Amino acid sequence: MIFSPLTIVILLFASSIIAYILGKISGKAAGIFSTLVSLVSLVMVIFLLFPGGEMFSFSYNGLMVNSLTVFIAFIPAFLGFLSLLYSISYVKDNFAWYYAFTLMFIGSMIGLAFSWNLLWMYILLELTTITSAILVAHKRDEKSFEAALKYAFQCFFAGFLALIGIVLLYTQTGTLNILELQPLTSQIGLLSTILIMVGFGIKIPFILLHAWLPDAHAEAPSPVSCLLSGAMIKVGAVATFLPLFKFFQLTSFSGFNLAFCWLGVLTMIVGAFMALIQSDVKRLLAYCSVSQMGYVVVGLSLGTPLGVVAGLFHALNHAIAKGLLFLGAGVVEHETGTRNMDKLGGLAKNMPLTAATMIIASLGLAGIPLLNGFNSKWMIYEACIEAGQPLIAIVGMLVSVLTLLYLLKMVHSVFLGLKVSENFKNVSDPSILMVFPLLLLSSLCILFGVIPQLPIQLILVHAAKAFTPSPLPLSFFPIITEIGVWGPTYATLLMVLGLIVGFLLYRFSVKPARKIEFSDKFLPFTGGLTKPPYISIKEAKVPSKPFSFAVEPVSRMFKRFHTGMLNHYFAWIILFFLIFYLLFMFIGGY
Amino acid sequence: MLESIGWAIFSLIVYPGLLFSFILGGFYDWVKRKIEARAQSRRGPPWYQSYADFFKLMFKEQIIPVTASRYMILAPFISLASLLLALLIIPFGFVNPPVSFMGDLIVLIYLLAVPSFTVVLAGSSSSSPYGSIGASREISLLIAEELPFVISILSPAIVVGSLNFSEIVNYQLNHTWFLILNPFAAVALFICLIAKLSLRPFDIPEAEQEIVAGPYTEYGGPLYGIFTLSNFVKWVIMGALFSSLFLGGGDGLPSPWNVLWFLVKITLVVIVMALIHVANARFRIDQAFKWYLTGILGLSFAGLILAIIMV
Repeated sequence: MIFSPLTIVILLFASSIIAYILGKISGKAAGIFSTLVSLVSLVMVIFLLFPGGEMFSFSYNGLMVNSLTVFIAFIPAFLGFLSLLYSISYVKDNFAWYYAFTLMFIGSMIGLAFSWNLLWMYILLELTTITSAILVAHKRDEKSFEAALKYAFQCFFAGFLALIGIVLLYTQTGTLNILELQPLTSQIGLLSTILIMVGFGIKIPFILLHAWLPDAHAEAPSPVSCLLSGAMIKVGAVATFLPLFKFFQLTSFSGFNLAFCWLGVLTMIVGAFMALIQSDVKRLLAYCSVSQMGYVVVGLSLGTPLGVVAGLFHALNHAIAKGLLFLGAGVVEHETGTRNMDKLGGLAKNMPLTAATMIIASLGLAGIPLLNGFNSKWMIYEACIEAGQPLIAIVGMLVSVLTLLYLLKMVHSVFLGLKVSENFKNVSDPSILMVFPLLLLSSLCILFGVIPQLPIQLILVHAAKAFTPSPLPLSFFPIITEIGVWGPTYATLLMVLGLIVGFLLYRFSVKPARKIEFSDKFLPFTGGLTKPPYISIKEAKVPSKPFSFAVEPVSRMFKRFHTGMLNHYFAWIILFFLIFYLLFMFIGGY
Repeated sequence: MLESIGWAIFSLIVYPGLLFSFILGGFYDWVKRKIEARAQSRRGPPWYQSYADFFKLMFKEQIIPVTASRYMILAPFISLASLLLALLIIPFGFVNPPVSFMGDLIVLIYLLAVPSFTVVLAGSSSSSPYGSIGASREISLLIAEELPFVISILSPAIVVGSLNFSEIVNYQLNHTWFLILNPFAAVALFICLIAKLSLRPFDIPEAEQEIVAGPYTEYGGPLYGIFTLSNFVKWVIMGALFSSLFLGGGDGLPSPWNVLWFLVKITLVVIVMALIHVANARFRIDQAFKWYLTGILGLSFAGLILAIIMV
């Protein structure tokens, strides 16, 4: 079916007015209406895929429909539907504003995904900023206003830089269409490309441009955090890298690729270390997003077909898992009233579904084999080693262990361990509307872990052609690269067999299990360092901050720079611009 | 395809999987205990003691704390299954691994991190303070040793230009053992394997004088039996990993002899590990952290640089 993707955007924006009016009358009605509208938009995005075939790309006035744009637009449409469904029982006040702006937010993200022209991209990027900043301020208290203002100011500032860059670029080349962009060799050309890189890159975010993210993600209502982290930064990443691929010719490996790769590596390291020392669940997840986008940046900036496919696949996996984690954190906050991990604990018995889905997503992100994150990380490592950058792969593996550490810390202090507070006795899994998105997303985590060929073959290999013309030769069973081979489906069969064997051993020998009472309070996840003498566990002094000896020196170093002051963050943006201007002048030899 | 699945199932359950590694790993466990006993001027257990302990555990009653969550039951099975899967990746005396569709080092690295994760899951879901402390020690140790482990395990792969296990073994046929070509990486990997097996000086997570049995404190009966079983498998994997990456695997001998030769090498590696175990006192966790992130990391970087020069 051929229609302009603009139809979807207009539909979402138009129905936001109806949602606003409905929201003034009844919150439920507005919620149901918005969910239906987002379902329609999801179906329309999927229908755009169908005329398909090899000739599959057509454009309308700077909007482009091809495998890449449909794939990227699918993420906000899908997560938008799920988070609106979840919102019906999550949102308690300000319905009119909430639903109207969520619909507009989804619409602007879908529009951004389809835009194929720098000016369109700029307009839609700013639209995502405006709509989501209003959503971040949903609670209307001091903290959320502060977060929203910081977020909006930083993104506007970077956006103005991008606008200057776009104007400069237009005066130089006279075109803004992505396909017609050429590598620029003059000083002015470089200046404009770096300005565009700063303005668009703030949505990925690159390191030094990431300061808005933790505040905005943590203070937004959870479904909005799910959209911000699950969808917006993926759309932003693709919108950033489409022009960058043309400007710097990233398809043939050069110093520019290496610079972007190490930018990604720094992003993942800083994100991981900052995530380690958070005690707020959603801030932890927000820094985790920064870290995981580092992998996406590494994959995309390698420029090889395998790297691009791996980067896009990791973006998809991260969207699924992180969307789930934010929705799950929302469930926890909704049921217990707090996000502070020091106050939570032992919720796995009360909310088994939430716990199970969040554990699956955490392991998926951390890269436990047979879950989705492992497959994309494996592909990224293989691509790094193929491109002759084993050190990046090694750092990636270390960061993946750090990811396991902080996500396990979250799982431990929220769901496992002993119950710290008696207030959570009556906490239970929420209504089906809130649990259904979690179940759906966690089953996708498992599906893409067991059969990663499904998304790779169906869409990602074609989507990568927008970046690199050469296709990726991939066999269906198993995935074979030039240097390695991994058959997740077989491996799953064998893993299940191993589990069955172990369970049979247990079953044949076990007598009826008996449960014993056990009571002793303790500090959650102490870091393992007790001070001598080791008299008893109650006497043992444990440091209040987890893993202090292990990571705190590094984390504290990074934390010192995160001052929370807007003018410092503006300085970061300018610093980022200067560093890359000088670096690329050096690499390009202008 | 069906044939290869049948072969894979055979290798998972019989050779070199569950049955074989149970027998061999039980033997290695006994070797360790015997050496430890002799070093302390005791007689030590008879040869069947490890097997007897396992069967005793399997016929005990299972006791689960009321406050524990059900992930406590899941943890040992995940550990066992992932170790069995990891065992299939290593070419066991044959030139080709039994399952050719997974012969990849990165997969192995990740599969070997899964048991650590299950230990953390066990410790923190059993709702015991000792378990929690043991769990956080385990993951701190994992962070400390993972970087040198990854670097030293990838050093041979960089020289060979392939992540495939059997190609690394074949390379050593034509050249010499990587132990001689790249001793730095070999030593670094060896020390990391000691932590993976949680032997002294790195048995910090289950330090019995301080925190009872750490993550395993609340375990007993069949569930602990499964953990014991997976520990047996771990012995075999760690020995085989070192032998095939740095000691040339089966050295391309004709069929039965290569397996025997390989087993001799694994046994030697295990004996050296056991000797280190009895000769050392335990590090504190922060000492172990510093030790790994200075000395061993330096060694493994030296190995990496050597590997890059050799390419």
